[in-house]
Amino acid sequence: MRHAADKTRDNMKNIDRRDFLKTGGKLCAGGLIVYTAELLLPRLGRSAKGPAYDWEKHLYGFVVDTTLCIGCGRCVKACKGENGVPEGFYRTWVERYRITEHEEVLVDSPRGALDGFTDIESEAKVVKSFFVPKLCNQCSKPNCVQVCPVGATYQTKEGVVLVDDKHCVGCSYCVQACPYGARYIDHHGRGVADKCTWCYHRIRQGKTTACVQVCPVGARLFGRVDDPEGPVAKLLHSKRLQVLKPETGNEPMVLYIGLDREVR
Amino acid sequence: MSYRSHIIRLVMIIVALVVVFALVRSFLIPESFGTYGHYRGDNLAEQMNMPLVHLESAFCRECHQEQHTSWQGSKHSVVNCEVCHGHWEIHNGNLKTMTAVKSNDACLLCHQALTGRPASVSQIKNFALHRAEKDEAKTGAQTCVECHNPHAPLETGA
Repeated sequence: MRHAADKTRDNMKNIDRRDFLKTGGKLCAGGLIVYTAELLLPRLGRSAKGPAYDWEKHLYGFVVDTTLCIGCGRCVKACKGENGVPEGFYRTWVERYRITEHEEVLVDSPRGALDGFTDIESEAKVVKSFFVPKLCNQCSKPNCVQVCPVGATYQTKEGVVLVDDKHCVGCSYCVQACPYGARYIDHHGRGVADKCTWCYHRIRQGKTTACVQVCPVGARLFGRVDDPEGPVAKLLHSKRLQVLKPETGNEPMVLYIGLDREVR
Repeated sequence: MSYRSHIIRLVMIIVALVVVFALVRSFLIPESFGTYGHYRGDNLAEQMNMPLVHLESAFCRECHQEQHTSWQGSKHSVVNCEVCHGHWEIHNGNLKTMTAVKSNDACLLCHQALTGRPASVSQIKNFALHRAEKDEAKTGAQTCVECHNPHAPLETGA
């Protein structure tokens, strides 16, 4: 052992500084190249095709019939349960519009309608009133995706806009960019953005969203818009539908029946 | 030709910079980023693999056939089991944990006459009056479900 160590020391002494740096540099460069190649090669070889079901053949849409909604708020409760939405935040909520005889528009949504609605005394006579369920509009041209600086929010091929909670940095640009107020930053939790996913985990299994499933009056309908025989496509082809805030140019995939001009 | 070593040195520096850039980039950007688009591809699987919390009412029939049958033929067949009974995840793991919401408030969520509520569902305008009319003293009923069967609301008895 001792002899071997001495020998190595002798050899080391024979190398001058220039040679040492040259050899060391070459070794380092070689190592770096090999290491980089190891990191990059598997990525190049990765298959580019999607998961088993063809997500390019599932374009989804959502129809809300405001003339049917009774404001029971069961959708809000189901959504919270299904997605673990924290207290004080809502991925879907129901608004009540009351229009008075003086053309005044009153809107209320107590706790997002989680516990339903109660009658409110108003001085002016209410001449018209209706409920409007709201949720993420899953826009075709989503502002929120465009403004995300880290690529944490994105649009799937099915048209669903999702948030990657592990990649989100919580800057809340998307919250400001959304014209519909559909996003929130969960300040009690991890401080990242979140919103309605159209129950992505359910729809990928062929199930409908939790809110649609529990709605007792069928005011909500979810399904494919690219299947002409499907219920959503049939509605698209038979009813007159509107979207919220069309002037923003976001092209929502949530379509409304019975919207009034007062609804924002 | 005497400047050749300068050029070689410059090229080597550029190569080294590119390598360093590629390395730093590969550390900072998650592995699956860009697989399907400008996002972390693995997130799709994470989203998909979230557990189901609500199941269909047909699933409940596996054990509760009698209740399911009476419910299915009734006006309440539009109301999923989980609306009143709570979602499946409460039941899952501990079968004794699932109960029904039997409070009057639960019924009134849909059946209270309300500003803005369309007349499509049966509604009660004055709850106190209804109870007086139905002779509360005689029936002794305090809750809706004592007279109205929630599984088949037009039949009497819970």
